[in-house]
Amino acid sequence: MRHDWTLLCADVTAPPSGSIDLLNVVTAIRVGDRYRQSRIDTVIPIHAPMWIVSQWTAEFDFDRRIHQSVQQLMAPGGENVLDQRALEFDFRHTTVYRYIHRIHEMRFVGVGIYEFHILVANFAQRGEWGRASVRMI
Amino acid sequence: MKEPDITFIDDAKNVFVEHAPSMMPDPNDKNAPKLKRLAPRRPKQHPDQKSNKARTDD
Repeated sequence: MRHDWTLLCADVTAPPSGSIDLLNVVTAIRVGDRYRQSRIDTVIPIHAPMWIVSQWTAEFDFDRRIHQSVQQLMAPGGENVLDQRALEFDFRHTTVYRYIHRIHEMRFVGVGIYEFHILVANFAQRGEWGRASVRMI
Repeated sequence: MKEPDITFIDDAKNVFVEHAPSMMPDPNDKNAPKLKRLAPRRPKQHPDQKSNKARTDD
């Protein structure tokens, strides 16, 4: 299994298979004062579209199956997990798989760099992982 | 009609995944299970870097 790339963007146009359009790749989000001044641990709704897109490739026949995967959102500093989602990446009918997910909300614990981690295929031993980060400013 | 020299092909499978909003852990739930970082940690500084003063935000 090979991680190709992972990024955050403001819009995605994609058919079920084939070429996709990514619009406005983002590296930072400005947080409104009402959140900056609220209690430190809060969930911010993301009303404007924000997407995470992650492309993976099955390198070997062994990879052509369903892989249990995980998405984690790390707090600034990378120690604390703010959110975790279980995923399934299905490579039975493709060698290149793109995970596309709209982020509707984020847990906010202060300004800093938040990382989204995508981990696939026995990540504890020999799996790969990718990340995309966004600065909350 | 002349055949093009190259044709762009993308044979990836694009999968839109929705997560239920309720899956977001409640920050006020003291009984929520402690989630653990799964990705390996990066070194705090580059092996060739003598000082870590240049960047301390990660």
